[in-house]
Amino acid sequence: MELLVELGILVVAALSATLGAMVGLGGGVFMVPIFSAFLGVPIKTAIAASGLAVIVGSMGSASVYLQHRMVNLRLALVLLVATALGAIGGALLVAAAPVALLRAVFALALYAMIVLMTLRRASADPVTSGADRLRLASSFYDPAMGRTVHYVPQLVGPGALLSTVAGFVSGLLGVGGGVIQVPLMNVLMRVPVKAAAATSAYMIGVTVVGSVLLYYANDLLVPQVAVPAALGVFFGAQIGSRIGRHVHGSWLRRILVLILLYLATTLLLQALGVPVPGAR
Amino acid sequence: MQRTSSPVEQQQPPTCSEAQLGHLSELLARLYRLWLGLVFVLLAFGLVLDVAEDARLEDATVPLPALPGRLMEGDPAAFESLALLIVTLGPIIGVVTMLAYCMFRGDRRTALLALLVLLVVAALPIARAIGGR
Repeated sequence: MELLVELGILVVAALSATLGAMVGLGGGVFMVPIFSAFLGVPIKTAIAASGLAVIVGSMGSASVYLQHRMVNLRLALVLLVATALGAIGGALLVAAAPVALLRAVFALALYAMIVLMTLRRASADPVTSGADRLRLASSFYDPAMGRTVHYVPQLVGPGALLSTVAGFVSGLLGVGGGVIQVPLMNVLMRVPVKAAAATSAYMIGVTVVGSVLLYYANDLLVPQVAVPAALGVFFGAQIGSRIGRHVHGSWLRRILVLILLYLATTLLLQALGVPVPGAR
Repeated sequence: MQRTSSPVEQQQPPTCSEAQLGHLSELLARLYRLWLGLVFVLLAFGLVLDVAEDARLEDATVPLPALPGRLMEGDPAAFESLALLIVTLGPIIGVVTMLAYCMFRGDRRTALLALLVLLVVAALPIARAIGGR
């Protein structure tokens, strides 16, 4: 592989992670198509390198968010269990599932989330009181607002149930978890978008560990791709998480909506049989 | 004066306070930074050896059983592979730290959640291998 390609991987990974860390995504949604369609990396190698990069990005951005106490650790554990249980079901049924239909359903669900995030003002205003049987309430200092934001996650049961469904579908389609968790936490559970992004940034690293170990065992983790991707993502995540803390929540929601729009359209095109460059 | 807990508080199982979770957050942040630091030292060492050897990055990782021997030989691919393996285990070490922290403080509910996370995360690659993804 040429040095220029390795440099390209590093730059793409850094930019993906900067954007991803700001909104709590792994960045795989950008890395995999660009690596494979524009940098000539085989798709399986690109997916494996992206998985490893997601771990580095998650640790890099979570270290910043954890330091500033923005990650809701208990909520992360609840949602991790729910999502991973769904993903296990999805992974087991991958051969029997109607993938095209699920892609279409998932795309429509993402469009619905986009509409909710765009129209519903409520997702911008956290709930600060009410029952909290699971002790998931938390608070963090928001430098953009100049004050501490308190919130009590709402509808935890339905949120966990939907996380399981989302994990099931993502296990089937190979779509990353962050893209589902952040809107779910923000729109349904009324977690402020910054706390949702920080919590998701922490969670995504844990969810991909198993897959990356499988990639290593199957010789899909190629250092020529994985090393520059990891280095790029590390620096990108450091930058993105620092910007994310200081950017107003409404801007983070707009960025997230654009990313969801891209992913939903990609999935819908795939479901309709339209070839998408670099798609899984 | 010592604060006496209300009957409602007495019924609640002990959980880590927000201050303790904040302390745990800082602990995890430090752990993650240290972990990434170790990974980058190993990667840098591997890259230096690569440059000295043929100025090219390796095109394959070293299988786990061969790793100790290749590390002893100073093989750059072995250092890069070890770095990739260590970074992959980082998030799991974080969950294990949470489990230990919460158990130590009697927060059995959160510790149980952390244990469940470890179990389902371990089951996921097995499910993927069975499912063929």
